[in-house]
Amino acid sequence: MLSLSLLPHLIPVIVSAFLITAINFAHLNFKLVPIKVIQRIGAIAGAGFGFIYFTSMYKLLSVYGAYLFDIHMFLMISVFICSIALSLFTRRTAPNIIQIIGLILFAGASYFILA
Amino acid sequence: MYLTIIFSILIFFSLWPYLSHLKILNFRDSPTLGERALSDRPARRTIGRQNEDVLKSITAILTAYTILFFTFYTVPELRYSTNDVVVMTLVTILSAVAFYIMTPANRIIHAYVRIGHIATIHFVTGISTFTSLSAILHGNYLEMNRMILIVVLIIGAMLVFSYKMELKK
Repeated sequence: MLSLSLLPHLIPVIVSAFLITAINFAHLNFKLVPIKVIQRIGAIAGAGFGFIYFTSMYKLLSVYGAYLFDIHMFLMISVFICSIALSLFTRRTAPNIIQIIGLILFAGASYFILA
Repeated sequence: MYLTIIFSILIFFSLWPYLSHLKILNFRDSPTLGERALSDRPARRTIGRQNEDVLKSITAILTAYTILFFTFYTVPELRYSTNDVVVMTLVTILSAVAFYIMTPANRIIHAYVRIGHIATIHFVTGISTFTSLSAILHGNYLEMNRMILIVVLIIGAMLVFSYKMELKK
């Protein structure tokens, strides 16, 4: 369970989620950029992600007594939410009922896992 | 312990029906039938090797996540035998290696799917890798209520990105 009082200390984890989303998906439409260049930039940004996430995770675990499972799930859910936000830019049609049901299931399960 | 590991393997293989339903993995039809233009991009000769490319990408993503989470959740144990600078250097280098593997995998699979599908694959793979590594390395087992919540979470994520890639007729 993640307490709301930990929210300021979770900001680096949210920044890490932004970074992962950018590294994984932001380059996908730049087909003209060679993959080697993308790989090197991804590796450098990945090193930055590792530094930020590891330090914040370690602080949350050792100083604030958060659970590893909760921090990890918070990261994964944040990455997925960032991906939903990113895919909105490339989506051309309105969401259908199945997608809205999926969003409700996802939001409910996220709440019960984290809160 | 075994229940958690079996659960994580089952989660990972839930990608199989998801990708088969979306025709991203298609072992039934002849691959040459797919040699037509997708609605939003030009025709590709790569459609013929779609299954191979998708499976290759998923394997690369799984490998990268295994390296990444092994680094984050096991390397800190080294701090008792060495200093923090060495631990941070190891974490940084291994994270870079993981993303060096992951970025081309995303590029390869993006020839056949949209960003949302890749995000779902990452989400499922990430949770599956974490639960199995956490059980094997730290002995953290999942309780039944958390397993159910994870299943609901994954079903929700799959439903959010359940649209199919349409082929032009």
